[in-house]
Amino acid sequence: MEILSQSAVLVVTLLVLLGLGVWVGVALLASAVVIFLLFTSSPVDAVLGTTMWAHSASWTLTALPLFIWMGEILYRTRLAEDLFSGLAPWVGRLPGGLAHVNVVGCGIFAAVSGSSAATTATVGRISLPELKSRGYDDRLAIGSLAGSGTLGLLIPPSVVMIVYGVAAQVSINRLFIAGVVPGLMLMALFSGYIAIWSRMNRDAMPAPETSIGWAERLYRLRLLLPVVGLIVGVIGSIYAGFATATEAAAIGVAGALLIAALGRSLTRDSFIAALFGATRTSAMIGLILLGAAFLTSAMSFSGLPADLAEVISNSGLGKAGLIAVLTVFFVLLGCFLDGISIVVLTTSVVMPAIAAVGIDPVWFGIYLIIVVEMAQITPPLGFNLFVIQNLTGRGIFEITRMIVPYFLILVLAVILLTAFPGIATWLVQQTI
Amino acid sequence: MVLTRHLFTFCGALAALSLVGIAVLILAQIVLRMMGSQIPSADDFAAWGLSASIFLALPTALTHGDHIRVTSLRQLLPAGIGHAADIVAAGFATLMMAWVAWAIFGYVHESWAYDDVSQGIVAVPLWIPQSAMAFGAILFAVAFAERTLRLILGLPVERDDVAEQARGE
Repeated sequence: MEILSQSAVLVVTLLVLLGLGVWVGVALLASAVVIFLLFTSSPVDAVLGTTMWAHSASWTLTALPLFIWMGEILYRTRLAEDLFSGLAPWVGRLPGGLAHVNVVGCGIFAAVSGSSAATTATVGRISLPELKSRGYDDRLAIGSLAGSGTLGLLIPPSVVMIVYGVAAQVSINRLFIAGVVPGLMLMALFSGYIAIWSRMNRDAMPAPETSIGWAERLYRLRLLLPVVGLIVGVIGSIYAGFATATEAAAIGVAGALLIAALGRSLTRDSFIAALFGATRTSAMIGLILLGAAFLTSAMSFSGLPADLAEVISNSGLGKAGLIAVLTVFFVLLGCFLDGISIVVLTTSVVMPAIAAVGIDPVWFGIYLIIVVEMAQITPPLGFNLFVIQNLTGRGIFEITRMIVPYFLILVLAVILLTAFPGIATWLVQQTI
Repeated sequence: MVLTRHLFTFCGALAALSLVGIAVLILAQIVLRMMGSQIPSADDFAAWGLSASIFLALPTALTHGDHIRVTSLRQLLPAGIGHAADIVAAGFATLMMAWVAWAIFGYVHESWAYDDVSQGIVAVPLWIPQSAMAFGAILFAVAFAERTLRLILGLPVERDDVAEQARGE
């Protein structure tokens, strides 16, 4: 019965502390201490020191602050404006019109940014006012932005993938490669939905854009050159096997600074704001990761995850059953926890069970990230919702209603990914 | 209190410098590798820089409201009880992080007492890079103590509003 009492103690401690408003990282550290004191005889302070040092002085983890910094620099450049003007002539006459700029723009920006909130904020800052001034329906403009913004986590580089890779000890390079095809698939699903919706709601659509000649279209493509160069430099160097994730991130920071300098948006103030913002965000994520690392080590002493793995593998639930149960659980969790906390809690408790039923950890990482994307757009706590609330001044629940179809597309993506695991694993097998 | 704000900002600046250092080190390593050379123990130095960057920025991230907490329940409470919950949460975090700081200090002190050195090509006494971790952890506990005190006195605790942290993820 120890597994029951242990799980109950863990769940109650976490719920009480989180509900009280204790910071997530602190709550994780405290629950670890409780598990240590009640269920193990190990010296808790000695383990704490070792864990804090081993998990903060980590070479793999250095990719995290560098990618965050790169995103902060690019957020302060003209990249979003250039993306809009470069892409608009190409999608303006498709069914759904400029709403596709949200999808493609987010997809491209996601390939240089590790965060979905940053992707949503950067693309939305330009596209929402542009779409509004052209008379696009808010449901289409806001919904497609919120949906596509979540690509920031799935298309590499991705902060959440680094967190998962570090916490679950899965190769970050493999995760980065595995995210590409599911990311493209989601873009196709979002764009497909936009096209169908606009055909069915012709009254809500503005007049189509005037056609722009091929010469002008091609000429405007030059605006995309810097960002494409950066994608090739960062993701390309990983795929070519030339660089580790950390090295690619450092190249990305240098490239982002170069783009900012060439675009004349690199000032002393913007440099310092980006650097300090990135440092604080990394410290925030670092605290959660350290809390989770300590909880993981508490549990490796107490044996809860191993017991849980045994229960699950003996339950006859099977892979698909386990994934279905976990998805419901994660979506509920996503209502009040942020994505990174969900990922670290999962890796602390559920990872051995995942391995026990024979689920590929790379595939599971991609699955987990799509589920976390759902969590980013479920109220009351969804970071992308906050970002869009900031951009539009609309209420959280009004925005949520516009997002429902895109949330369902994410559910469809999880079903497809479970039915055809090759969507995530095929490219990894081809490259390694 | 003005003193601690300056101290936290100063540590935040050190953390930022540490991040710049990591980027420069890794870029230098890439360039040198192409020329067939390398910086000895570069991976170790980058990892230590990360530890320093995370821990030294913890206090300033707190005063900027960057650390994530669950506020959905808190928003449902009446103002008076919510304020009391804030004080309890901050007080609890103070005790917790004070213990963490004490345990980390003990760990670093042990590295110093036993002359632990790094395993890489360049053997560095480990207490040197570890002291940034201890220093940051102690200041983080101080920052929570200050926050608890400010909440009890009814003073403002954060610079930015909640909206700003949404960008961080």
